[in-house]
Amino acid sequence: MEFEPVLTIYKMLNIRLFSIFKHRPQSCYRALTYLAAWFTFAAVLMPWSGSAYAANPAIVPYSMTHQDTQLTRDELREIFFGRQTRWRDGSPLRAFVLPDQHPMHIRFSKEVLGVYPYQLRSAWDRMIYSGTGTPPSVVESLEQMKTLIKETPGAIGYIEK
Amino acid sequence: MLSVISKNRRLYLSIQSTALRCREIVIGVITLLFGFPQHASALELGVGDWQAHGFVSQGYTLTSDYNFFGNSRGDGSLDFTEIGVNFSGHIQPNLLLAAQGLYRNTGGSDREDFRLDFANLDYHIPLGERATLGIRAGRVKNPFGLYNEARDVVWTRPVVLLPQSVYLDSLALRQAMIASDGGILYGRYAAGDHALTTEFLVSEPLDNTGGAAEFLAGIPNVRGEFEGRPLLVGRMGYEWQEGRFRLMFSAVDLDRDFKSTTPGVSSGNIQTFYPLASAQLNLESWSFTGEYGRITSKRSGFTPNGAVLENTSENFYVQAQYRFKSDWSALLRFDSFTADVNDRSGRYNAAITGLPKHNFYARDLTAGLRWEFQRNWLMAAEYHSVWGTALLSPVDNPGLMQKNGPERWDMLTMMISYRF
Repeated sequence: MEFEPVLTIYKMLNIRLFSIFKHRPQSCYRALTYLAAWFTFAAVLMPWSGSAYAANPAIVPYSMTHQDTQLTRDELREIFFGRQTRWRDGSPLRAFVLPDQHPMHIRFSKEVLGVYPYQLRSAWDRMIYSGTGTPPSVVESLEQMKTLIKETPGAIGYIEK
Repeated sequence: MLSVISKNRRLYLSIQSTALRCREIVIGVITLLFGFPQHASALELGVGDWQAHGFVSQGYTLTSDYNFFGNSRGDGSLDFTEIGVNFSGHIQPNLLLAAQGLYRNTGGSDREDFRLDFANLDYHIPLGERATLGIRAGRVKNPFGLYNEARDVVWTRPVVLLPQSVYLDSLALRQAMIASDGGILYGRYAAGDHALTTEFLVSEPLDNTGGAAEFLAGIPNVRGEFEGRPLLVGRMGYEWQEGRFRLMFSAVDLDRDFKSTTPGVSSGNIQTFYPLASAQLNLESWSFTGEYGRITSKRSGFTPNGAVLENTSENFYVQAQYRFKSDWSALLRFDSFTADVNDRSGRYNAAITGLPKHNFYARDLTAGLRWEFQRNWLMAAEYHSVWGTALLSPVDNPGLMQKNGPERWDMLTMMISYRF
């Protein structure tokens, strides 16, 4: 009983659509043309939107002193979650990040580390308030990031490329 | 019993007057901090990676029929203050030093004021490509469950209070649960998105502070010392994608001899075993969490006929968090505590003790909101609808053991916090 209004509307629509196509076959062809056009348009646009996305500068980890070190995602996670505190050669490592809400930090977290920014924050807070580690230092801007990476031995951060 | 009550009340009044002074200072500090919004996320000490962090949190609690964190009925209570300062840094790339001083006041539930929260050295070495082995020694935080180590900081809690059934903030056991003096051996093995973690603690528990002695002995106002075997805590866990999914199992094993210095109270032994299973799913805007544990305690030697008093409680909660904006989140939680698993309704225990049935359980339905309204500033509020009085502090509620109060009561608790 409760479904009756819904059914009535459905029936009305159905009859109407049906009658349009029945009495005017050309509208049916037109509808099909629109549909085909829409899919062609979408098919063209899809790789486009992909390339438009890639045209955004990529965010990459960056270190002055260890430019030649190729880091895997697992190693980057160890570093930016604050668990790895030295480079493979044993020298001290310092990590720098932008503030939690910074669009570049969000992109770096998701695209490079493959985690949500709040996962990083909660791991860092647990470290800070339980005495189990030092999280990366937060810098205010990309400019400051670049300067600090240049000036600090063993520093790593991220930049746009 | 009457002398116990009046003693508690005197203690309570003296706590109140010191709390009053501290509260004025805290409110002053918060106003001052708000006047100068800073944007520094940490105090870089300028040497290597040495950093200092701190937080000032002030809460407000309003309750209907019982007191929680001070005299919270009527106009509410401001006896909920947490202030901490810590520093940490590496002496060697693999050797960490960290320490935190903490001031905490939660009315009758925490009378310790200032304390050294943790002060430890941590050394770790890589074992091959995928594993790490480490040791931490000094005053360390006890590795237990999902929230125990950093629970004094509102920033690490979902909203205002942690689920009381598992984390027991209003009872005197709290101090013994949080930190201890000893060493932790820990390990981590990671392979791609999967990681296994384990921690094992051996330590001297802080069970002679914060009223833990009388709580563990189960005798009000008893004086004495705990000694004996060290505390053992173990935790192991599995993590997928840095905690997007997390499974954990922790256990506390405590076996202590109580040396009574109160005339007429005999010495005895207390054994406590607290296993806890934890699970958490972290999606982009949703988090689902659940923890389930049972506390088994055996008390012997306290009764003249030498009977062993054994009891098992059930502690669990389920919780959903929803981050609907980058700086806003909401919470819904059901939290349940049953003092005796063999007497869920409390009927049997009520009959033998003469206390109301609802003194032996607590079921808490909580809804909360958290807002990080500025960088380094947080505001949070929670509404609790509670059935049962098992988790209330007897210090804040002197009449709890006498009066037959209502089973159901309400609580509104709010907190504002600044950190650097």
